[in-house]
Amino acid sequence: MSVMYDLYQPGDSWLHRLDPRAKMLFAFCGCLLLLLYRNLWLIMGVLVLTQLALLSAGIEGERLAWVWRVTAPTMIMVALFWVVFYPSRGEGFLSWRFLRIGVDNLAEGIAMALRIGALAFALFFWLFSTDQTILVRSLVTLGLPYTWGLTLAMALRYIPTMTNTFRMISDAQQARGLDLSARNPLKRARAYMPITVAMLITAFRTAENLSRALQSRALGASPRRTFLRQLHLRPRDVAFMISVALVALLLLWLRFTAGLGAYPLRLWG
Amino acid sequence: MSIISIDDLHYAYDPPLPGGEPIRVLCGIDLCMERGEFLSLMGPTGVGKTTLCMALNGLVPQATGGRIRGSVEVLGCDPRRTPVEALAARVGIVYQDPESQLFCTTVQDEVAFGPENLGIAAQEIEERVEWALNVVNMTSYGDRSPNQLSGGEKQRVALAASLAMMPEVLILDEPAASLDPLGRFQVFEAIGALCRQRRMTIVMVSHDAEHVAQFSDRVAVMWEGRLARVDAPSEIFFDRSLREQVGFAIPQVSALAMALNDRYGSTYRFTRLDEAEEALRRDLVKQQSSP
Amino acid sequence: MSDSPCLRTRDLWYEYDTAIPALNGVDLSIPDNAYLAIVGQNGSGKTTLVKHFNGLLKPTRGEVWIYDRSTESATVGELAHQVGYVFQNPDHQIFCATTREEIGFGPRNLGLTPEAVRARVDDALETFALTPYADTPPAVLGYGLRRKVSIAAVYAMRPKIFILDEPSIGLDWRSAQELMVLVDNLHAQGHTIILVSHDMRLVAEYTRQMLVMHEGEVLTYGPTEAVLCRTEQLEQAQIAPPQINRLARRLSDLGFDGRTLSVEAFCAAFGELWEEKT
Repeated sequence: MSVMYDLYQPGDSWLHRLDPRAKMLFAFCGCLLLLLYRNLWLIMGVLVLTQLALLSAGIEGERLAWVWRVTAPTMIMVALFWVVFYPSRGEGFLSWRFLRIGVDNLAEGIAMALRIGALAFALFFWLFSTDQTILVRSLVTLGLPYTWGLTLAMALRYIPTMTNTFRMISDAQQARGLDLSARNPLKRARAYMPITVAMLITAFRTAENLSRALQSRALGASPRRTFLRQLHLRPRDVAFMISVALVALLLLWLRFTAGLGAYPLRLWG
Repeated sequence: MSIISIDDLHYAYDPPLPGGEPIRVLCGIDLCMERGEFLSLMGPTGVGKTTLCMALNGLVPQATGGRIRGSVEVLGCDPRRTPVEALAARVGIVYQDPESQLFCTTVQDEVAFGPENLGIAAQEIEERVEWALNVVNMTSYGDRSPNQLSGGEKQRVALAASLAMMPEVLILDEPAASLDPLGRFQVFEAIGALCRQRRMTIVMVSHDAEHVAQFSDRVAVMWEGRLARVDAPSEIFFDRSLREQVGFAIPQVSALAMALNDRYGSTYRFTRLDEAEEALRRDLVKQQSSP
Repeated sequence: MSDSPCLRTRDLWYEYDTAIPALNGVDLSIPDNAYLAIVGQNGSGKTTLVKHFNGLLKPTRGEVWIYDRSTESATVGELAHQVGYVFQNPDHQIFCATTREEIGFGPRNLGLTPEAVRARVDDALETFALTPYADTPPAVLGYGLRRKVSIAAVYAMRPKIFILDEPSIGLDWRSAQELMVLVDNLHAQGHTIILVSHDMRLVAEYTRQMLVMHEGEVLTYGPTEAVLCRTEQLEQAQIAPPQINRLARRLSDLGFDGRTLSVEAFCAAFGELWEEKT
């Protein structure tokens, strides 16, 4: 599925219309809080909230399922490792040699695992609903130099092209008898050489053509560059950002004073 | 008044490998073009057609280095001194490879990129984007990503992107060379629409003799670093010795005209399908009706 | 020359990730020493079809046989002994420091001895007039030469079947003609040539058989002169026959044969019609 390169799903929902900087703030605050939380219920709450938000914005179920699929192996691994290496502090309901699984460490393991999914969804809240050009534009308004933003946008745009070229070169070299089936990682890396070199040469040629094309389109002609698509912070966006900031600060304060979210099963200490 | 004036232009690229010889590509080019003219540039692969095109917008020598001698004047500017970005507003160029001249994530952004760089107001950019996409017949493609487009569609976007800057001179470097027949048809249709809508000065590099015959006021044949001949298509395509020497393609109907002239002593000079049909029909019907 | 076909497909289906099949039920039988042109728009399935011939793609359904051996169980490397595929973009193959090494890459992969490899490389350099560039990095050569290097590199593998994907694209008329003369020689030596091309003039002038692909199916297949006259199907596949043919058709009411494909034939027809009217 090509979702990987085209994280953005076009649409016109409330989420899409929200200013990208507001969404970025949400993602940032969300990730920060999630890293400080260990509580199973709160993390599950964030997961449910983000899923509902994304679905209400018209993001396809297929995309959400993709995120779950991609993060599932890591989540399962984290849960298993946690449960194995952090034995239960109490009696536990399952004991065998060094293993001791109790409700506490099981809950903690699941919380740590689900945290990964929650982090992903906090980020995708922003990335699924913001198109690449607008994303780069928002970074530029926040101070990123325009040419850096352009470089970033072009890199994103060329990922699928380069992947395609890689596949074509791989086909072409295999048609000349190149054998890519070596097991040994070193031998395998060497086997890929004809493909890598041809890719590099193609990349250099493309880069040279691109630089000529950029100049031919007057990049740098005017010191004051205009933009067709403008970003405006509407009252709605400001309200959203202020709410997110306030809630985040409140939750942060509660985390360190009342121990909110510090424990896997109890909401506070 | 000449809009493009090249006098005894010589250019050599720096050697690709250290210690090698400079690559002499242009060895005395002389050319004058009037406003509104459509000139096609033909010649063997590698003879220097792209180099000559880049000499018109300043990429040669500003981006390519090398050694240049002689004079070039485009729209009253010297491409050796005027920065490429500044000249780019007035001299547009569409390159051969559709893949490496589209850098934005949507078609609309791509076409707007040039005017944005020129600092044009957003309202006007929107009008220009709409107009340019209309000329190339792609108005509904605004939100599409370049990765979803076919070769022909990509080249039309590249053409629209250059048009949006409203250049006075447009250079098309083999615009349809790497496309399938449908793509070629679409690109040349767009070029035709452009010719009808706006009399721009156009330089087109192409091997496609049939489209060259269809659009060109003059054809310049390049050979060994010089322009061997610059003349109307009907002169160029019937110049046997030039063709012997350079080996460029000619429209099949012109080959037919020469064969008919050789065999039956006729004096046909057609270069286009409709001209050929008209001439042959006229002569055969006349023959039929004469006693 | 044997009677059995060198290449056969039976009910060949292929689906990429999308739901729409790229090939739906292709049945083909290509004779040995054929000179076949495969034409069709981008997206008609011609590249997908041709990639089955050297094992780069394996059928989703159906079967492909190369010299009576099914491609199902064969690797690309094994099939490379018999089927040579020259890709459209020479830069997708070129990676060596000298032309000599580049041409030798294929033979080396086939497991030949160093002496045999050297002999093949020298032969290829001579056949394609590349000897002056033997020690130059192919990447710095001009496009026309890179094109020749990529074909020479596949030639050195001495496959029985050559697949050439758009070999004349980007070449000027004279270089394209020179290339087609070389391809002609290969055909004369007994190789089977499969030419995927958009250039109808070249197809009309050189090839013997022609196959038209449209929306994943074979629209029509037969001798080139015959296929070029199947107007309806060519229109359906959005293929325009050569200019001279279009002229003959426009003048068919005056007595021209709509099947005229060459300047000489048209000339002769014109002469006859002129005499008739006198």
